[in-house]
Amino acid sequence: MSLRSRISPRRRLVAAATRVAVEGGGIFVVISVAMIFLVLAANVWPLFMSATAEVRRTLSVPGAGDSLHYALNEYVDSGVRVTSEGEAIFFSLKDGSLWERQQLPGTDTARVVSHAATVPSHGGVALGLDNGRFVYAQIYFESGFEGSRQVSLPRLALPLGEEPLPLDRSGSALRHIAVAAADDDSIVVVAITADGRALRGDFTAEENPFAGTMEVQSELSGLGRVELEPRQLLLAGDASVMYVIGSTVMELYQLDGDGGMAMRQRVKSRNARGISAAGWMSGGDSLLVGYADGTVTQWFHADTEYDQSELVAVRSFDVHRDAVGALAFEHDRRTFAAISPGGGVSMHHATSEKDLWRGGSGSGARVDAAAFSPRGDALLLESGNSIDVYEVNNPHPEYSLRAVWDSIWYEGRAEPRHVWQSSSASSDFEPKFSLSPLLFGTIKASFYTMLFSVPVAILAACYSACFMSRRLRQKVKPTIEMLAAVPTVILGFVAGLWLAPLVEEHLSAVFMGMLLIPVAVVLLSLLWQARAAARFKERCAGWEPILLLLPALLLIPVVGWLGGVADSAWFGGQLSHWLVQHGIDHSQRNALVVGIIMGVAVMPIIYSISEDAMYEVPPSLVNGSLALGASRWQTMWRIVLLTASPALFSAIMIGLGRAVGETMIVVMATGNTPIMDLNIFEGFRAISANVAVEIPEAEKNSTHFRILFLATMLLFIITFVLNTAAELVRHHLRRRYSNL
Amino acid sequence: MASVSQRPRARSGTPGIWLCASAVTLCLMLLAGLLLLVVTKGLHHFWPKPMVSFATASGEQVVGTITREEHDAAGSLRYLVKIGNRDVNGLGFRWYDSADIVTGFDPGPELTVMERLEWGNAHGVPVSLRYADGSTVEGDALWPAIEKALAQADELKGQVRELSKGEVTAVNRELESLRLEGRRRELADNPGPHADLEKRRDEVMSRNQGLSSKLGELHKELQSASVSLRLSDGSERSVTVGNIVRMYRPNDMNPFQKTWFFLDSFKSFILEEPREANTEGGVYPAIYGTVLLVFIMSLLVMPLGVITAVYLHEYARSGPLIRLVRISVNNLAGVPSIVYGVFGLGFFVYFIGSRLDAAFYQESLPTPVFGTPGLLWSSLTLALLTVPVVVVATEEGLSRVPRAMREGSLALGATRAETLWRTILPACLPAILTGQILAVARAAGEVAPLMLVGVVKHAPDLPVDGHFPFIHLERKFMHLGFHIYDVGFQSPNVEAARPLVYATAMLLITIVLVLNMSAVYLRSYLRKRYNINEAV
Repeated sequence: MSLRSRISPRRRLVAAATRVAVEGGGIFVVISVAMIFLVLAANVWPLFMSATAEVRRTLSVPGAGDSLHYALNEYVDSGVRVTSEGEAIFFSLKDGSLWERQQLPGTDTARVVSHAATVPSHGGVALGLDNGRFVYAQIYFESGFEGSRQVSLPRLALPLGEEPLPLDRSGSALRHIAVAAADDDSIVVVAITADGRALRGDFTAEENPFAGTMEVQSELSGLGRVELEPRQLLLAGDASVMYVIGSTVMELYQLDGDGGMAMRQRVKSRNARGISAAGWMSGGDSLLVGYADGTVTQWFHADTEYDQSELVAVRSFDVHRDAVGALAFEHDRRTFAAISPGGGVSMHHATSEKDLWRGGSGSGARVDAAAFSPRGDALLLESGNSIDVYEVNNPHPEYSLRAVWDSIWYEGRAEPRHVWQSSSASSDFEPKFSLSPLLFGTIKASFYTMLFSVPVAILAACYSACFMSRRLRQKVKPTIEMLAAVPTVILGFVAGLWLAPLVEEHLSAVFMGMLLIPVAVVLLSLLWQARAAARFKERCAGWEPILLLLPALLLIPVVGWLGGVADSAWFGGQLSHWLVQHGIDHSQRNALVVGIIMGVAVMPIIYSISEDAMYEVPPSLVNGSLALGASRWQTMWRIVLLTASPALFSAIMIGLGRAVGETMIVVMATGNTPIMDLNIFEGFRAISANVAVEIPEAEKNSTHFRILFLATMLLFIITFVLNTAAELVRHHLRRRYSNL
Repeated sequence: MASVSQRPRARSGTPGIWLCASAVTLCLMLLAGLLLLVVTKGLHHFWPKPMVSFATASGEQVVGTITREEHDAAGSLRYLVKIGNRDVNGLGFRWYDSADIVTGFDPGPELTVMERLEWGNAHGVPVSLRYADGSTVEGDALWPAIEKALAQADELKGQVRELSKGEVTAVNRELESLRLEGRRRELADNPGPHADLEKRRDEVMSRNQGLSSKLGELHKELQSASVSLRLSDGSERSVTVGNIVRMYRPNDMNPFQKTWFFLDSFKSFILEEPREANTEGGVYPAIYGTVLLVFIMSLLVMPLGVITAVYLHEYARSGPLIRLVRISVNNLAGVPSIVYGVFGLGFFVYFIGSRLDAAFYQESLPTPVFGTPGLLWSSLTLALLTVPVVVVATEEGLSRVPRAMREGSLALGATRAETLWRTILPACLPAILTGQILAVARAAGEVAPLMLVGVVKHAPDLPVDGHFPFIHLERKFMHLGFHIYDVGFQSPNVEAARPLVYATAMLLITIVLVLNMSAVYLRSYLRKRYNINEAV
């Protein structure tokens, strides 16, 4: 007590501050690990959130007539409604006020009997009239300023001229119409008349350089008769195939450039259920068909074995109890909304098969029309006399457990596959986010790495812990550990630019070396045992690695020469070429090269930990064994190795953790192709390499970005489990040693 | 005794021991082989390579250096020749079959390599030097005249560099700060035209005009004289001296000149900036970036690592908490570096950085200042990554400080904190230093996380310059390790860049291994010291 009181307040303060700082520092490490996990989790978490949608505004339908088509602008503040009266109505999506009505040409004298639209980004709308003519308009939004505020206002263009164009010269009504726009100036229209004739028109607007006016070149052709009573007509985006959709049957007609048509495929719906809606998904590759039993099926052309493509039903969604009345599609992603006649709305993502959201007008009122906003953040539903504008929060529809792990049948592919192909600059190609090939690549890399590194590391550890002379050990151990300090970027560079071509050229020598060198060493040892003088033996015990340097240096050219001999004798010059000729794929940067070089990176770690553990096996055990007459080899094998085996396990775990996460070597020494193939002569793409290469270019907070975080988290969890297991085992071992 | 002699072979296990020994041999050979490969190939880059001229069966005349020879699949010998003159040939390297070469390799002493700022090397024979006034030099006086002209051009280039690094940068920064000031006032609801800013802008612009005319003159002077080179196909090509980096005749050099050339190339490799999309020139900015990164990192990691080690070894009592800390340290050591990179991107760059920007750099948005990868974030990420290295080394040092020292200090009435500060930490200073060195070595070789948090292929400005606040922590930087990856794998002309990549790898591996060796030395010194102490 008296002692304590003599300590000045300043000294006491220093003591307390030090204590707080040191303990805080200890906790800091724990916090860092937790932070890593939390930051990763926080970035991954939004992937698992389901989509939400709620009514933001309810407006009254502007203008009269039935709605045929809606278009919304990017900011969801202005819209266009095309009606059955042939009017384009511009209105505000904020308060529903009507800005402008524009009568489309020809619709005042003739009735609109059919309508069609191009892909949403193009904004084209075609209306078929009852006099054999049609009118084509293009809706777009123009940004301008209203005071200082930037606004985007709807506009309407008539690229094919101010007059409705004739499609059927005999003037019968165009009961069904479909349109595709190759580019801004060239438009293909197909139609079916009331009497079942299919017609095609190709229209190109050209500027007359002399008069300065637009002239429309048109080319009309009669395609023949269509027997099926159509409900709807669709045209592929490149105008190569016409889809006639009946009440239970779909017919596909191949269109050729000369105005001909040939039936290509006829698809009956299963159980003869009625077709109630159909349309193109974004990208224009997938046809979505809604049925009267409340299901929606995605169809696309997949390659068959005869080099032909065939329309196949890819996946189905159970959407509603009653029928599917209408479908609406997002402009860029593969999200669609299916609307039941009873007013129920459900949103899904086709590729990920994710059910995103379910809801709808509770009133049970019939939904007459639906449209997504260009960014997919709003959905417009017209029912009765009012418009509901839903705010949709659907940031990551492409993610689902299936999409990330299972094989997915992507558009245009012949069969379901695991594919990683994240780059999708346009909506034409859907992003493919399968982590399976990446995880496979990581496992493959680690497997071959361990295959090369574990035997060498453990054998070397055994030798330097049990047999090596102390003086040599003092030099050799830090030297081998130095290997762990070599930057992996240098190892990767050496692997990719030097070793890979070398191994490709001398593949048989590499394998021969792996086989022959151990045999040669054993033979040499037997020779040594039988022939060397005892004095010599004694003096060299513990220095064998140095003794072996010279033979090893001599063996390398011998093995190279033998490999060359084998190549020319059996493999027609070069083993790698021979493999390819015999159907085994071979690429220069492959798992063999990665295994060897990553083995070099991992081996010193395994060596160092296991050597320490074996060296620290209590001498009482070793001495006891030796005293009982066991040879040093037997003692090593039965006592030291066995006692230290948990540490060996933990060393291998730590080495594995290092191999799983190693990045630069796999970036540089593999081809980085995300394939799933166990072949040692093929490359792969590992998770770590994928993250390193793609994350700098991924858009912040996009699905791609978050899935890369998910992949990183996977790496973190794998290594966390490995390291924690290793630490627990080592802790256990330390206790055991101290008890011995 | 009898039974032992009956089965001596099985018991002694000599083959097994030898097999184990061969694994050690393999490890040693791997390290030696790797070093030998990188160092020889790296040093080879600086040595002047002999040039040859030859003709092929198709009548093509070739002047170049043979970079590689190999047997193709059919077994015939072929040579990879660096033919240079990329502006004429379209590519800098070409394979020639030995069967196609009709003449022998002729090592003419007059064959000259001209390194240029653009289009890589030109190979040929110099014919004339034309000065600005139209006079020309030919014949014997040519080579000395060229050397003189190049020396003058070097001086001019130095002036240009000084101007553009100094005053031009200053002017640009002033303009940028004026723009930001204007934006700041706009944000503070003061949009109006600012006469004072306009006036200063006009001043700066007029200064800029003066500078550009000065630079223009220098550039014109650099373009005035030109060297004509006769290429292998007989055509002549004239290159202005400003465009020539250096010229040399490798076949005409004696060993001393070659050694001088070697040293000179090495010097310019270390001290010059890269050219031609990093495939030529030096690596000065990459060395600079690496050193600065590692320096800042070690300032950050030192306290963290030491405190954690002290906690683990001196303060904590055994219990679940210390197990947790230990598991955390081991996990920090085992977490893949790429995970640190992603963490750094998600936390430092996007979380902290973007908040810093919103709070302090409102005026430069939407261009982020700290909300984008940069030097500070890279240093922090690497500091976190290297904490376990320092912890492990420091702990080892602490455990070697004899118990008697602690107890003596406490017995004399020192508090635990005083014992720590005055006795224990000074005693294990070498261990802390060892940890620092190891951490620096680890950080210097780490590339993967940096790709996400700050390294770039080409940084226009060094992170330290003469402009306030002198150290620009938000800037992106170049790095030796990334340079290797980028030039070796991302450059359009890998064949031309290969020697340079080996040279860079040699530099990096030398730095890292020298650091490691000094750590090993320090550690063994430490062990000896305390072993003696304990014995006493």
